[in-house]
Amino acid sequence: MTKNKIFLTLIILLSIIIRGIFIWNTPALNPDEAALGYNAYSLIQTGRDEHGNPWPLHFKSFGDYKPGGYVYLALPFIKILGLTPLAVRLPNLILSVLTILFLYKLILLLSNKSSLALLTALVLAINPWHIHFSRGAWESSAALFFIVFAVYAFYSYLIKNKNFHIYLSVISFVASLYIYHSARLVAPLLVLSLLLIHSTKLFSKFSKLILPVIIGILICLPVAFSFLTSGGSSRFSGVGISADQGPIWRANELLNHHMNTKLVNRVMHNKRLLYAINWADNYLSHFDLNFLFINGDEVPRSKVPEMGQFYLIELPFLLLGLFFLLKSNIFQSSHKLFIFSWLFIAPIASSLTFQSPSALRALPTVIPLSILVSLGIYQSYILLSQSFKNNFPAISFILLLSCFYTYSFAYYLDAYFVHYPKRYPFAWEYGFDQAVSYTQSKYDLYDHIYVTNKYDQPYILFLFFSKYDPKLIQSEIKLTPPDQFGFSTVTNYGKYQFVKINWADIPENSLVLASDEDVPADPITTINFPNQQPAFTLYQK
Amino acid sequence: MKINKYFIILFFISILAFALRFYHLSSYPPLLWDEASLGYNAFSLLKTAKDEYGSFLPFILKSFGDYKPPLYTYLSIPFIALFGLNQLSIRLLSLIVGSLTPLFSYFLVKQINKDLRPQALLFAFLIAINPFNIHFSRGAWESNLLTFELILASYFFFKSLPSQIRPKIKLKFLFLSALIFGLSLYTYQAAKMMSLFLIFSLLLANYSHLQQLIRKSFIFLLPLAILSLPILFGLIFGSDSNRLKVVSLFSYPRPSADVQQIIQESDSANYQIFHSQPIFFTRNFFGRYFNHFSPRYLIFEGDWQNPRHSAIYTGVILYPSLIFFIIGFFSILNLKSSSKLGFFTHKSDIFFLLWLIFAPIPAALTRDSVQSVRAMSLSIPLMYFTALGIFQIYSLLKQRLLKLLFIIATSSIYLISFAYYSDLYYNHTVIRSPHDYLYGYTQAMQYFIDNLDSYDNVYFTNFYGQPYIYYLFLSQYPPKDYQQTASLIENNQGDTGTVENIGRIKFQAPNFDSLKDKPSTLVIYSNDEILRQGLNNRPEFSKFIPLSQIGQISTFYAYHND
Repeated sequence: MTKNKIFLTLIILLSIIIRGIFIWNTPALNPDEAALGYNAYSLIQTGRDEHGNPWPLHFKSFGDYKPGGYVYLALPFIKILGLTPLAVRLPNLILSVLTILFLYKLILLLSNKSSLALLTALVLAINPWHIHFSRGAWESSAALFFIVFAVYAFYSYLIKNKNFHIYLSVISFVASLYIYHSARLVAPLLVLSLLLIHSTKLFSKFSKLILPVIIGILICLPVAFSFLTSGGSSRFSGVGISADQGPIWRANELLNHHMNTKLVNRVMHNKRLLYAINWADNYLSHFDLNFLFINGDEVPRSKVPEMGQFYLIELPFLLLGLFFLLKSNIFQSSHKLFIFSWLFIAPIASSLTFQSPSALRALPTVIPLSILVSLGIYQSYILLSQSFKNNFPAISFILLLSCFYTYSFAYYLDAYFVHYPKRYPFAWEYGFDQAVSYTQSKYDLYDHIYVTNKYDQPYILFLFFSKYDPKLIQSEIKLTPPDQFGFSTVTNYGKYQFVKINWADIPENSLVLASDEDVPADPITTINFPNQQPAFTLYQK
Repeated sequence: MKINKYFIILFFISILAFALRFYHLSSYPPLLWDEASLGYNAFSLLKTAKDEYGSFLPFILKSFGDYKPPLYTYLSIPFIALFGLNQLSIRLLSLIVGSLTPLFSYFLVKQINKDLRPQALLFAFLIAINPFNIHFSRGAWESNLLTFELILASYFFFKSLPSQIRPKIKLKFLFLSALIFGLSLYTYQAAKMMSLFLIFSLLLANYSHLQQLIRKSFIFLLPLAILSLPILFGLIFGSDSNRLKVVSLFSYPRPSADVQQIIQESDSANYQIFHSQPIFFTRNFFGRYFNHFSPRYLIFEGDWQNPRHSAIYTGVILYPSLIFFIIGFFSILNLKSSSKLGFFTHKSDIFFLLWLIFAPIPAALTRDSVQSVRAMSLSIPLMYFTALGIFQIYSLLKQRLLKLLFIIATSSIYLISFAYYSDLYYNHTVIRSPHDYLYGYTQAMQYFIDNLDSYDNVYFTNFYGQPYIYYLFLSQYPPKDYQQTASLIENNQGDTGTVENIGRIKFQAPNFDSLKDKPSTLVIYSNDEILRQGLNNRPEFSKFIPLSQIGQISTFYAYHND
């Protein structure tokens, strides 16, 4: 084995350990993961999803029509390992680690510098943004693998003339469309930029490209068709930028200030312009240094406390990396252009939703940023070792940087494993596994089981942890009308009622799982969050 | 001939800068307390050589207990002497230095790099139309004066450096530079450290002349040392350190409840290693620092903590400037060059890069998450790199037609963007936040002054703060008389204090019901007090006279009980 292979193996091992450790219970299973897992389970048992649809491409789930790719990826794992959090998360874990491997291969291919490729892999391996979305059944991270692999296969075809790889690239790009909503914008735009940047070279191979393009279009058709018919687009109306009323109010407010409706004012303060400004604000917010390096995402499920998406120590190298990408010859100019395109394309899908910046939807940004950071470090090292006669400055640079990285990494692990589960336990819905095993053991003693609806989508976690018979739920399930974001839920099945706990309305001989509602009775027991605050307080009536 | 062309353009840029800053300046934006205070103190110094509290030629002005540095006030005395005490005369100094800023910015860049003339011209033009600079030139903002001084002092510093024609340091200019740096310490409290940062940047950018500079250092250090003495004295013995404590970032540590939570989640060793106060401050510092470079601050919202510091719904620079700034910023490194400047192309690039890095530090060290006033000198390096960016793109285009298209496209985008900004500034900013802009103070106080002689009991609300200074300012109250009675009730937290009355004039809004048995009373109420006391729903409301109508409301109302 060469030295490179040893380093690469170590990096892969490191990333497996960071991403795999305690993945079976930290963080707790969230409802989206449970939905993916339970639908796969339902398919295995009955050939239909929880709503009774046979082998769908979009899963209706909470009325949000999840792209189906991840469910099918999880299918074999659940078949073998049973319906457990680990089985649901394993496919993403494997794909995320492979993302690192193929990023290494991609950089090696483009720069021909193995140390830069190794550094990039290492930077991604310990990157908080990527680690976060590797640990859990995040479709976003799984889709990212297919994008990275597709880009790698494309360049492998282009540079090494491996004809077979263009098929892999096409299939992999299309696969990402089946997995995650945002990929449906990002992947086509990346393909477009690849085609434009390398148009002359591709044109000379025109005849060889006809078949892969036809195959690509053919395998796109089902997802395009399903997207248009089965409410795949309804998701956008819930979270899209047009769901935000702010720009309309602002247009009215600004017009009111003028106290007249002259044409010039109506043009200057029309809502389209304000929506455009709003979009630009969303888009650029992904490059806000506060988002990237200090506070990170706002959503508790997508962030650990007091941590940015990247380590603060990486900021100078990000800036240097941008300088070096522009000025050095490590990458060919067409490859430089592609790295920039990736950087600018990646947040586009996310910027079209009103929760911006979103680390989850803009996850593909992590790839070009990691490349830039490692390029910054690599070139600084090269410059230091070239500008001085002895090795001392370069070596001390590496040592100092390693110290900073070690501290930052320790800080992140501490934030993730020690503080995160205790700071935002509700975000990941800790406590449900214990609640379900308790109610299952007492299931026959009560006529009704009332569960608080304070937590998000409790029904799916009960289905998941009790491995409820999919055949039964398919006939019982009834979704509520969608809320303002387009989400529905299920309020009852079997003996379970998922409602706001109102003691007076609850019939006799019921088991009640309340959160912090006022209940005029003595609790039987409590189930606690990791921070010892009660998640569920159990009563009987 | 060539020089003439540049000077003609510069002349027009200065005229444009002046016009944009002067337009409706005497009425828009409304007069702020700080401006009234600077004005009245200048007036008082002019008449009596003492400030409002009777201190003889003070080094620091007590004002509202916030202890203002005195330079702006002293420099305004001639304008007050010439034009009297009014809203325009107190703003004139800021207007003038604001209009000269583009001109001297050009001189500065040209002085550093002779071959950057077109960029310098563009730089001057961008400053002339930059919202950041326009905003603080339209009003007596000390920060605007400081920014000008920093440019002037840097210009003289570069002018003093040896050239190929004259290999000696020009002591006259070095002395001038030090003098202006010294005076800048008396200009704006919160950004004193900017002067030190810039001196450091000047030395670093002129590393090659360091030996010569050290030999002549007494010329530079002497004026600086003499001028710093009173400040050091004030810091050690004076009360202005108190104010520093209120605004400092370090006065706001992590609350003990949060500390307890962290310790409960882990243990105290963990807290010490990963979450202790120094780490908390570091995170907060960088968070604030980065805010000043965020797109949200630069082009979308401006100073989102205080509407008074920027136009509403827009940033401190124009939309296209952000893109050109980024391009310009990344254009300064040159890996292939092996000149004395290392990887930089121009010496001015190094100087403005350092300025860019240092400029938000004074603001980031304070409690506010963004603070435009304290970060104002940031506008200069921002516009420098923007100018470089525009020029960079222009010179990358090879064909004449493309160059022409680029010029047309860029100018139209700038024109539209500027028109949009002007609309937001003139037609929306004050009407959107009349309270923040203290709209109506002058109208209401003028009304009060005109009518108060006919009443026995006169009240003026303290709702918006510091009404007394408007009274002094607008009535041109004889400073000698006021100095006898001046009494500020100081705030024991170190924030600004209050003046409760001047003679029989009481600065408070009495409860409306208590006025029933008080005939011959005049009260000026604020809109909020009327809403709070529910007066707008009572039959007596018809007797209230709106004094300052804006949008749907009037910020002040007069009530007469005859």
